[in-house]
Amino acid sequence: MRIRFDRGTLVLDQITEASERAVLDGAVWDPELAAWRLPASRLSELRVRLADANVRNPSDTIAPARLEPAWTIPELRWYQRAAIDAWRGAGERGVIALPTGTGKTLTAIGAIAALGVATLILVPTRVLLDQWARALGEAWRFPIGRLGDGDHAVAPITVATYASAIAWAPRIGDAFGLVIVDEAHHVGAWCPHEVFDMMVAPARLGLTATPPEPNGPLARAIGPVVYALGIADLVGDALAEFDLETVPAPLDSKEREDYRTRRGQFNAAYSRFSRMQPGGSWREFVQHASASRTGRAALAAWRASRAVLAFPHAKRASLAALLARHAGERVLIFTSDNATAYAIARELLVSPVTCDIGRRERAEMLRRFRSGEAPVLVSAQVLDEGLDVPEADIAIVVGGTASTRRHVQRVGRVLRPRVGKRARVYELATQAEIETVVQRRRGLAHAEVVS
Amino acid sequence: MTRRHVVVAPAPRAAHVASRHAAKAGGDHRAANGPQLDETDVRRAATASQLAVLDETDLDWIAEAIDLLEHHLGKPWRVVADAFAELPSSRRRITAVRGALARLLGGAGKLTPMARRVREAVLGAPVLDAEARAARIAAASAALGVEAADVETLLFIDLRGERPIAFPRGRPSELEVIAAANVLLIQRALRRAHRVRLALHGDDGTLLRAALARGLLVTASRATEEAPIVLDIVGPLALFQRTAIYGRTLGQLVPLLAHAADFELVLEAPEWRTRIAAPVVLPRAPLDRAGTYQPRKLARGLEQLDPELRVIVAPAPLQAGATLLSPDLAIDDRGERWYVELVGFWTADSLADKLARYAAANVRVKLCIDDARGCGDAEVIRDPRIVAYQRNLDPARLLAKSPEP
Repeated sequence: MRIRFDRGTLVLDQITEASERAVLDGAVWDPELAAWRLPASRLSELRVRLADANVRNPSDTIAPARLEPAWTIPELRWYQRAAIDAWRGAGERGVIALPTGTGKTLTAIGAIAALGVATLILVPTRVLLDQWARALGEAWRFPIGRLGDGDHAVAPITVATYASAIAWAPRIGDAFGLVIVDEAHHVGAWCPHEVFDMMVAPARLGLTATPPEPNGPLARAIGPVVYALGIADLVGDALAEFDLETVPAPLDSKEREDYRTRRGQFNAAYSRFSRMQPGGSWREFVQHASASRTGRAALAAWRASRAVLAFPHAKRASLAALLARHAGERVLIFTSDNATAYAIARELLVSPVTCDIGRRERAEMLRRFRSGEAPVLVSAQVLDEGLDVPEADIAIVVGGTASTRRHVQRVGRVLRPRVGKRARVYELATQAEIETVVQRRRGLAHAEVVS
Repeated sequence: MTRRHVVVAPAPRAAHVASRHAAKAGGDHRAANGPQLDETDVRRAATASQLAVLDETDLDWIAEAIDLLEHHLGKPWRVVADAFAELPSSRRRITAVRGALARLLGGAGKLTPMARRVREAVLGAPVLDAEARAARIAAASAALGVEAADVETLLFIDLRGERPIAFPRGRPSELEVIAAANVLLIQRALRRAHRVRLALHGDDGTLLRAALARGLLVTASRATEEAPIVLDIVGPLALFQRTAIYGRTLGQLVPLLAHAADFELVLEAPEWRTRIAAPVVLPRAPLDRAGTYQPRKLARGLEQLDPELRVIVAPAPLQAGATLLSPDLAIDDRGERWYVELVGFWTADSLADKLARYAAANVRVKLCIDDARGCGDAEVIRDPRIVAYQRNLDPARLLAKSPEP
């Protein structure tokens, strides 16, 4: 049997023995090449099956390069060393979960140096591509490959955006022995799991501040969480001290009436659905409601009720008061949606950082934020993760969901340490949102005890 | 040949309006609306498609969607988001229609540079009272030479959701929207399919060539000259569920379906199997030039070398037993015809198989192979019908030897 890598798959041909046919379980016949194909990620498993089946000397030349040991790495902190040990102990497959700002990149560089094999690092954004390439360039004295943002250079250590990795994996899937994925909770969505199917790399490392539920796509592509620490474990050590304050933002009478009316309309439809289908999920309710005009009206009422809470008068006033109190400081404002981000940006004439803003303009906004020229940024999601904003001291959460993941990421934005720094996180909450705030805090507390 | 599915081209403004009113009134809208659905087509549309694509029965609610936009002309797209969600159809179909409308109406791209300049001039430290805000706007207005009210308008005019609704080419017709939305609906289904079988009547080989040009691995077959061409599309990426690239590439075939007089598309995944068959309202078929650059360049080179040659780019597929071959060029050389195929990825075995199939088709051929696209380490068969090249193919090399029968 001959095993080759071709466009993200293993091509198996020259099959002569019955024992060789026995290992073809799950392979697909390619009539064009008259050969069998398997996803590249199954190379290790295939080798084991061939050995078990006593297939002698399969022609298999797939061998990722070894790295020159030319590293200059600052001393790792205790938790970074412990994370690498845990990952290696788990068979070099798994996820390390550390809060934002605690040096996940350095931990990963330590893992690459320890393994010494050609490595591909996947990152969600072009900003992170730059950050990683810079950090790796300082630690390893050979050129770093870059795929994305107009670069097409492949090297033994290469950083690629998720989008570029999808296009390049069919060509370079056999070149790396280790794959690292940053912001690994995106695996299965933003980062399609097919990328990992197209890579032969047996060693895999995921990095995240907020590990998703076990048994999801991340666990299948990378492995389970092998090491996790929460914010509470590292505050005062690797993270800045911080205060969390909830600012009540009561609705005025008109807003309250509007909210009640719309919520009532929604509740009536939801109650009917719950009686009809006890235990039905939200998704099932949406499907059910979408099928009728009254159901669609109920969904519209639900959206309208959320819009009332997104930025009522009291939140407007509190936001202005907080910005006045922290005038001149770097402030990040988080909203529940882009429309609210634009409303705030329009009202206060501050920079909105959203997915709609182009890369160059966004970079310019961040530059002006760093220089203090425009010290306030408002965003619905873009600032949640990935951006290195060391100067931010204050976070104001105007709106959000109950998602612990997003909340932990948002809080983490202002926890990068600096001498004498004490960060502040404000959550503006209407009465109707208090429950969500409590839930989020509970989630934050839970995130702290994962370790 | 009568096309059994319906092809829609953008109609002039007057026709759009006429068609809508006629549809609403239940009258004959056909006179005003360019290429038409006839009643047979409508009946077929109601029964033949198992994937719920849009058809004439959706005209009313789509007219309602266009009305919504018309009533909010000049306002940001986000203001109609909730009203769209309340339209009487499924979320999947509403999403497709909204996507189709966004595509048909275009964006505010030309205003982007000005909007960026306005943002650069206006956005900065927060303004916490009305006076400071007015002063900032006035300063920007003076610096940019635009009215203060325009500064406010231009601030986010280029951003999705914030951009104003506009009908730059007049009100779109409902059929135009249906056609564009159907492309999106079929593409969405294709993205989730693991295996695709496409049966085509009256296709001149466009779809087979389009699939090959996009690197999809296709087995083309046809039982007899009269039978439909059947494309079974698999490929290395078909191993992976819901592959973005594979799905996107497959999706590029959908607008080209209008090239066939009739088609049946069967999509399969482990948990489901669905079928889409003509008649389907689709946009007018675009010209597909994917993968034709090299053949056209080669054709020009051959004709320059020998003006007696008549070179046909992308000739009709050739029957070889039950399978089909798709040569890139047909060359009429002083009363004799021979073919050229520019082979993609190859092995020695696949070349031998290809030559045998051309022999079975009883035609003369030259296979041009790029050395860089050889898979594996097997040596190329020494055969006068195989012309190997590196990067650039010299037309003189093709004419150097006569093809063997």
